[in-house]
Amino acid sequence: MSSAATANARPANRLLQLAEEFADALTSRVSRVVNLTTPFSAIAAGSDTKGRVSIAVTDALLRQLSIPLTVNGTRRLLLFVKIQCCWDRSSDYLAVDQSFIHVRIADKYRDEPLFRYEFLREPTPAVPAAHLQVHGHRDEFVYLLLTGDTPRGRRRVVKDSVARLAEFHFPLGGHRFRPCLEDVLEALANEFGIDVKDGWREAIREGREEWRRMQLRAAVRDAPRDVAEVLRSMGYEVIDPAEPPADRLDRLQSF
Amino acid sequence: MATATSMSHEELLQRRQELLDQVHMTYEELRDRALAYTLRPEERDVYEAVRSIDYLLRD
Repeated sequence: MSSAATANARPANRLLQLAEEFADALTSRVSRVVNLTTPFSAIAAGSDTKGRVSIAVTDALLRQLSIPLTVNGTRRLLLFVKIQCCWDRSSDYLAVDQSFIHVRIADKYRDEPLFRYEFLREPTPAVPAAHLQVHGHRDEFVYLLLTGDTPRGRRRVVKDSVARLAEFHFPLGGHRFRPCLEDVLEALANEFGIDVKDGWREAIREGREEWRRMQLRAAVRDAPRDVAEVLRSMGYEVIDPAEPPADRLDRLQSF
Repeated sequence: MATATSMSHEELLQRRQELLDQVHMTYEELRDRALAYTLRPEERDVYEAVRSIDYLLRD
């Protein structure tokens, strides 16, 4: 999610204003798909000097709640969505710093998720920025996680921790091409048959289109010369600036 | 609660302690149980809140 700032960068409360718009958009989108009794809210520390905000379904005590999902009217799943935002490099836009989309069985004695979609804008080297972790059991995965001579494997040996399938981070397209919340919601509807509202597909499609257009705009900034070349091939007239910006190799090459 | 709330450093620290008091655990106990996936849903809600407060307060 990203919202354009209108005036000078980082005025007082600007971060909170952008975060509020983001939280409201999440509430609007999700509540068009499933029953949402508590809205998304944003919390920031003090003024916007730290430039961080946390957005989730939050109650008056500040607890960050999961969204109950039903199947045929029975509560079956819990969807947890948390998005931590910060200023982008230019301090003009709200950038996603970390995001967490977790799906659990609705059982008070089972906390382990079924799967987790996560994004870390600044991940550690061995972890892909956008990744999926599946919580399950498969002996071959555990064997291979223990067999390979990798930094993560060596750390596991040092810590004497048990390898799990959930420790495998399936990469999901890096910073720009990762899935959105709408993708997860549609998968839950298609695969698990969660109860959805009339018109939910339209809400999903609108949200996904909005997400992909936004990510496309960000991706354009990563490789503007490639974009200009494609546009010229389509008949557009594109004039190079006097000082073309460099490609963002950190985004194009990162895991 | 309001859609967007700004809290001072002190308010967040106080709220963090109140959250931990609700579940009668230290942060370390809560974290260890979270990592072992042995939290109840209401404890998970608190854990996520405390983690977010720590994120907001991080230097």
